[in-house]
Amino acid sequence: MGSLRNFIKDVRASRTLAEERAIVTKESARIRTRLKDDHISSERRKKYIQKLLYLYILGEKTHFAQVECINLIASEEFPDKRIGYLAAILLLDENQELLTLLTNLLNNDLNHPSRYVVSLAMNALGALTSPELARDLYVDIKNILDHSQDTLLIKKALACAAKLISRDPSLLEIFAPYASKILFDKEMDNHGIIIGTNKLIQSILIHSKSYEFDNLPEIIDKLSALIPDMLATLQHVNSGLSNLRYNVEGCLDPFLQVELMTTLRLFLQHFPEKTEPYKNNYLDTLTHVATYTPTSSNSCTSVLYEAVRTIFSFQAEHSLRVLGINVLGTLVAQKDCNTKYVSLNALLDVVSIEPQAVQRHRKFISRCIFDPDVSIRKRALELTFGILNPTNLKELISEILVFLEKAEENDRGLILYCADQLIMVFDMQENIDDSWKLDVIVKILKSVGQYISVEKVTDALIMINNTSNLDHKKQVVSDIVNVALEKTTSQVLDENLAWRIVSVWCIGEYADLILGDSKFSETSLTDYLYKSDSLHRDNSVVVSYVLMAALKLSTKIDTKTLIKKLREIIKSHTENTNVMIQTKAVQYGIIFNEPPAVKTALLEPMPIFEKKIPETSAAKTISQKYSAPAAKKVKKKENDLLLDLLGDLSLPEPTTPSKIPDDLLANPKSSATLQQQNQNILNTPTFTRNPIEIPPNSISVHSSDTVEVFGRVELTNSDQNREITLFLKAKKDIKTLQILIAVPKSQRAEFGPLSSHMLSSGEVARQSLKIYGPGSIKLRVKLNINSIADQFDYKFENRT
Amino acid sequence: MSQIKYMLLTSRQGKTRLIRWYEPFDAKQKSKILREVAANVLSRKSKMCNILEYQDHKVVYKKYASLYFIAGIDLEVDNELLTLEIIHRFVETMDRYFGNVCELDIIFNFSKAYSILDEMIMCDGSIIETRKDEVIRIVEAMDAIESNDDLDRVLS
Amino acid sequence: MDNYKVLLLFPESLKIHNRVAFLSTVFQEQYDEKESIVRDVRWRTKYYDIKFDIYVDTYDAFEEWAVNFAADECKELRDVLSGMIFVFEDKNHEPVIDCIKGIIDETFEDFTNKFFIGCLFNESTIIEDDLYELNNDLIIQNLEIVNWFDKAGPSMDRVGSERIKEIIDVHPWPCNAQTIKSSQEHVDSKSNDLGSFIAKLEKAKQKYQTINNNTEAEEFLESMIEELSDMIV
Repeated sequence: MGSLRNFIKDVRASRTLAEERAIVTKESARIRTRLKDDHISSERRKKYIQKLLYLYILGEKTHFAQVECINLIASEEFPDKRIGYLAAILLLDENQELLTLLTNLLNNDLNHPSRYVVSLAMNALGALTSPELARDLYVDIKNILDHSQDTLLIKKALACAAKLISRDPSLLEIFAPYASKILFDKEMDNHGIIIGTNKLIQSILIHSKSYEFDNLPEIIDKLSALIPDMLATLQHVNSGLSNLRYNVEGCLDPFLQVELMTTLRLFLQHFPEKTEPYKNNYLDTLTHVATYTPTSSNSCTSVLYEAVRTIFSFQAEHSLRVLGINVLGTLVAQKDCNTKYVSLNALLDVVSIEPQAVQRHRKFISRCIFDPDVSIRKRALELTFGILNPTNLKELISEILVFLEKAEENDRGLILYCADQLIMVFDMQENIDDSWKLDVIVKILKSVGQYISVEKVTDALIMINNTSNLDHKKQVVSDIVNVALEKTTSQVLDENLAWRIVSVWCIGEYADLILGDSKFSETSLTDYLYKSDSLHRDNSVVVSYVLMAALKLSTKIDTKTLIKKLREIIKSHTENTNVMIQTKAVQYGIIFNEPPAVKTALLEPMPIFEKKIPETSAAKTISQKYSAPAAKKVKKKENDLLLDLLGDLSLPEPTTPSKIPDDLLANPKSSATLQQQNQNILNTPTFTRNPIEIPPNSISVHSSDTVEVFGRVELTNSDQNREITLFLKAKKDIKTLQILIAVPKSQRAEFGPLSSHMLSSGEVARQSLKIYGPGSIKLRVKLNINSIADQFDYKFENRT
Repeated sequence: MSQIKYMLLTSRQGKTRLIRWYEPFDAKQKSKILREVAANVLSRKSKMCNILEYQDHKVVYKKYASLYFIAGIDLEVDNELLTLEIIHRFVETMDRYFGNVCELDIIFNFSKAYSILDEMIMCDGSIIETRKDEVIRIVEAMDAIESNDDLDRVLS
Repeated sequence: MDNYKVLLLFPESLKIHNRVAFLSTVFQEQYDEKESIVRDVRWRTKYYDIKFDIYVDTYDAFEEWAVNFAADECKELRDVLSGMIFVFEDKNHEPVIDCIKGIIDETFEDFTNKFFIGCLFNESTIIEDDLYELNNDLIIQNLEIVNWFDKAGPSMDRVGSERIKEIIDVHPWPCNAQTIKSSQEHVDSKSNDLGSFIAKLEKAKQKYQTINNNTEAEEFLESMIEELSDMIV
């Protein structure tokens, strides 16, 4: 404590800093008081505002200074104006009424003799334009465009014009002529001017929808006449022929190149017919950019990436698209992780249209599965599933298995995704041999079973159940049980519940198959069930499986003491607090006491279990030929083994002694309470609904706070008849969901039912529709979610 | 096309050093973004890419010395790689203006940093000037008028 | 106004030459084992020039020191400190860091305007990436762990003693919030040569003499000093 005492003494001897600290924390309050004084000099005022902006950055409340910025702007002094405009940009926004106070000042300053004052005023106008300001001040901007020779002012005026149009589209008529005038008149050497012109054209194209006068076609005609020039400029700059002062790491002004491509793309999107005459120029120029831009630096790849995005906005141009995909293939192979990230994303957008072209780059895509960045891994995996086809299936899945073996806790989401996708793929790929599929599934359960949901385990059980090759089935079951029983080599973690469930289930179903093997004894199997029960007594899912397995195993072994032990397992749950488990234990207890013949009849092996394939999961990425036709076979309510089992119970012996409450199974209406319970038994949350999956290649078409909507165009043979499926994924719980869809007048639509009108957060509803009639697919969708309306339009890219 | 929603400079210690909004977010959204985006970016490992998805948009960032330069961009319109170039261009321009720019320069001369940014990006986050020397020329010219003005005023 | 106070804490085990190295590298100051207060340490940056006193203390067992420091009688000291630098050698750094976190969280009423640096003085070091992740969890406490022996890598990051200096540089010293320069403070003042400076100074003097009102004269003087000093930065 020696030195500390010294320090305290020293502190006491000196004047403490606490006072000063207090001042600092109250700095903004102090400034507020000072600013109220009308007599402070403009010099002081400026300093206070400066400090206040500093406090603004630090996150202090500074709104009271809004009027002050206007006072500073009103000053005749340049330094006052400069700080005033900065303050206005930072502290005001276009929704404030104060802006009306600004109108006159801006009007003056836009006509100020100093170019720097005009320039600052334009910065503020660009940042703060409201529709009113736009209408009040457009004349001043027009004036600058008409008379100024100053490139600084012209480039800013062009940017402002673009912004004014966005606030009041009727102004596009006023400003459109300047696009051509300036692009032709001024020296092409100044890229700022060309970028400004591009901004103006972009704004006109984007806001043309809201322009209400009928001279739009003429305006657009004049603008489209600029297309050849813009293409030429792009090629010129891309070849490095323009002003070399704009060079950025081996790439001439990537900013300008990207703006030019954006403008060209907007023409394609909004007025495709206007680009028709220049189609060949487009193709040539984009091919040039995509072919000759190197990949040596980020600035170059940004241009390449933009070229590819532009190429993809071209409709129905297969060869160009393949070129774009090949460029992306090169980018995916780059070292830079940002390049990898964006190119994987772009590939995901096109994989459903050109799976063949994309899958040629699978080597580099697979490499990204092991990237240190999880967001890259995720996209690479999605893409891998997108390019799966019967030829590369085994190769790619073995890559995915390597990924799963190495995966860690924080890959949980990806692991689940892989498991879901694999099972979906297997469901659809009927031509692959079952033994291989089963081996893959068993491997997955073994390495990452602890992350896998119980639903997916049921899928695995179904696969084992349905395997027709008896030898292989025996082999698989024997392996599973062997690994589970093995105590020394802990190949499987204790928390791997999926493995636990599968092994318990196998023992119940197939003890008779494997008991011939010397590795297994009646004792070891019984003990395993006993151990599983005591380890997981709290887990109702595991317990359910143990109960069923105990019941079944009791018919397959002879040792009396072991049978007794099995009965004890069941008995021990007859008072379980979980009503579902309790009911089961009671039921099974009753069955347990039946004479062996009845029991065996009741507990027949499970029949081949048919699983419903979700209609839309007939993803065509998996090669159209092989995809199972939708709704091919839906015999039973799927995916619930326990239901299935219980459903069978009542069949063999309808006259079973009345102790088995058969009304529980057969006649739900006769006993409301029991039916309620029955529901509980069958509807454990994890088993209930077959969740709708969103196919990986669906496009996100709309997103709000409550819902994200994905869409995909299903493959159809004719252009006149196309099928669309929309998936609505709830972000919050949705109590009521309605959907209304309209198509253009030239088309007719036929709607399927909405799969669900009520969703919990994360669940998905499906809406399918058929569209008859030519033309691209444009939808206007109106959603009514919890009585709140939400409307959006979406246009699907044309697919060939 | 660049349509930056906001530009944000945050120190390694999580302190905001510069904020510029190009889209009219409300106060609540602003403080949420400041908090969450900075925390998100700071917690990224060095091997991860510089792009992430946040709410309804993307965030592109790059670390220079002790500062993170963070830009919020449009999901569809913006080119993420080009956004990295814009950030880089901003840093280079400041570097030339201040001579080896450091965090302290930006703390004490934030209004100059804004001045540089405003000559590069305008309106709804659109880039308007791509040349470093042009940007510096304008900012320095304004600096000169300012210092003359000030002296003249003091002496008048 | 009296000097700011910074507390610097060495482990007893840290060799004298290392303590000397620390003080001279970071503060350009001598280390005297007998003197626990280093006075009037000058801290100059491009933008400000301040002085602080460094309170140098040592510890045998860090937890014990922490208990003493948390005592009520140290409150005055804690209130006044602008920042603390903890130097530690432990190979197992986690307990120390937890202890520092404890000090910051539990014993300071308000630590938001103070800086805290944990300086790992140990050659078997944690790698830069791990340090980064570690520091992400310490942002809330205003605490940063710096590895004294880190060598600057290809990233432009400052490391080791340079980073300690940078943290002190960017600390919001209370005086700075008030002296934050207004925008006429420009980096490039080449345009103003010495001749014009003297001429303007001369004019200013004359004008000052013509002002009768005292307060007005004071204010003029103050602003003039500031403007003119900006010219010669």
